[in-house]
Amino acid sequence: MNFIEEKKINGHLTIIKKYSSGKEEILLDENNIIVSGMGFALSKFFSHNHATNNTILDYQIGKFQVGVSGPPAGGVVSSISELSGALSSISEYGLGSNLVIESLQPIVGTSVGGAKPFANIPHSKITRVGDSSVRYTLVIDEEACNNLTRDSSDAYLNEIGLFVNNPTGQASERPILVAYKTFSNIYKTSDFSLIFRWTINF
Amino acid sequence: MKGEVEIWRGDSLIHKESNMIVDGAGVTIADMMTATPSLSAYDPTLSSVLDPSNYCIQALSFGTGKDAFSANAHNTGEPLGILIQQRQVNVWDNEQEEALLFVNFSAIDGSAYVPEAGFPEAPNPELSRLEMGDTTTYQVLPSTANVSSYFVGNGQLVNLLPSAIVLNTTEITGANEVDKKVIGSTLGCFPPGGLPSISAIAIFPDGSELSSLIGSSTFNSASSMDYSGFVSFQKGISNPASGLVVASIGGNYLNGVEYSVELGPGDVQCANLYGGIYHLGLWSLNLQESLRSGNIPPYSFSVLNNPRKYRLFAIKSFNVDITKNEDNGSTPGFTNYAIDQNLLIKWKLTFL
Repeated sequence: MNFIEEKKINGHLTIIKKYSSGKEEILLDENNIIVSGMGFALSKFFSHNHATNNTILDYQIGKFQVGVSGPPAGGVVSSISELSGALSSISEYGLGSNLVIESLQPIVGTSVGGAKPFANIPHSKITRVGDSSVRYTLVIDEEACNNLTRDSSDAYLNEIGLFVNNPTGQASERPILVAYKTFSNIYKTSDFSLIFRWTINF
Repeated sequence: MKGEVEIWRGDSLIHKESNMIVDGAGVTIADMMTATPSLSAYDPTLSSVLDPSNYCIQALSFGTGKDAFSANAHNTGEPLGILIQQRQVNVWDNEQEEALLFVNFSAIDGSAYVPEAGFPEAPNPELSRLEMGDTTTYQVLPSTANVSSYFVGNGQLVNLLPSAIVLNTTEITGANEVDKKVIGSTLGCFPPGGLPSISAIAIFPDGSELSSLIGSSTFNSASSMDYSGFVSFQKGISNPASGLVVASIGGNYLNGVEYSVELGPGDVQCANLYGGIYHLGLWSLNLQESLRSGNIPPYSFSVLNNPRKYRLFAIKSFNVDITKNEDNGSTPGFTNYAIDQNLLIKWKLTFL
């Protein structure tokens, strides 16, 4: 029971490294940070100022990005609105992977950013795990995000973000970052998949 | 998520305090986050099930301590209650008044009505309504209809006083028209819209009386409150006298949103006579309960037969009755509910 007047939205992320043999290794088990985009998306939702063709799906967390430049130079603070170094192309996510990738222009701060690839979170991977808790299971399979490079050097996955699909109700979706987490460098190869179990408590 | 409630009387800010976001808020957002598109694909009649309004804040209500529902203008006690009922019946038999309320002043020097409310429910994030105890008004009067069998208390001030509402919602009782009006007068709690048509009578210990004409209701003028006491959200309207309205704070959604609603002088006076206002509740739509009741979206608001079921989202409780009034010089407070006693409630919510 929570006796404070303020109800904090919070999240917890577990990263699991899973080898094809079935062996699993927990790489991270920590709280994440909820960023200002969550406030924007929920305010927009509760303002009733919905576009004509808006549906509830526009306000759901339905996309994610991974990146290779975390943590942000300014620190991991609630005002960040984009990943420091999100993967820049659909091919970097892996053309043979099971991820469904689309290129979209996100909301960054108060403006619209350039087009970037986003991975969809299937509804089958969105699970109600409590009265007010939702778990998102993001799978970067063996074929995804492998052998990344930047400036001819190996690039390591070290940040991830969750996005609300389209809170401003545009005809072409404009996602907004709502939760963010950095983690220790992971050089992704086809030897293993990465499973991100991300639980948000509303 | 956090919230802050401001209450304005005219240009005067009379309260500014934090609210309590209750657990139902998290449940509503989790409902919204996990709604699946297959819901609408499953059945074409459910095409509106994915409408965002099904998960939004849709109502505001007013509450008081549970003891208030068996005291004040509810007039359930004997022997005074019986005398009052007989006087109401005599009046309505002669079609003299829309309604007539009575309150019993415990002391002759009390010229502003101070309602009995006991100890209102303490704020608690597990609350699912404004008062969790039994708030049913048990009528002990010799009426042909039993109030408690007609309406079980829902923890808040209800809207059954206007004859247009009570006559249309009490068919099930089989009561005659006058007794239906007695039921409405017993349950309360907000006056009809339009021109003032209800008089309140204060009865003092020495038998003397004082009459006060009750002003009209903004809620019933705008038909914005259903019979169970929920003031409905009004989409696309900015005037808080029309019901519950919303806007972004400072025009920027990063700052959150502000809901507002206005009580007319008659609403304030009548709520005071029926036990005062110690709680405010902000309610989201409860889609599962609405569906379970056999109603499918879109849900049109209705005063008499509202298909919407609500879930408590946030509550604000007060240590004082926000409808309390005061004497004005030699004018007793009971007759001093001035036109400028509108109360404007502003409820700000931020989500980070």
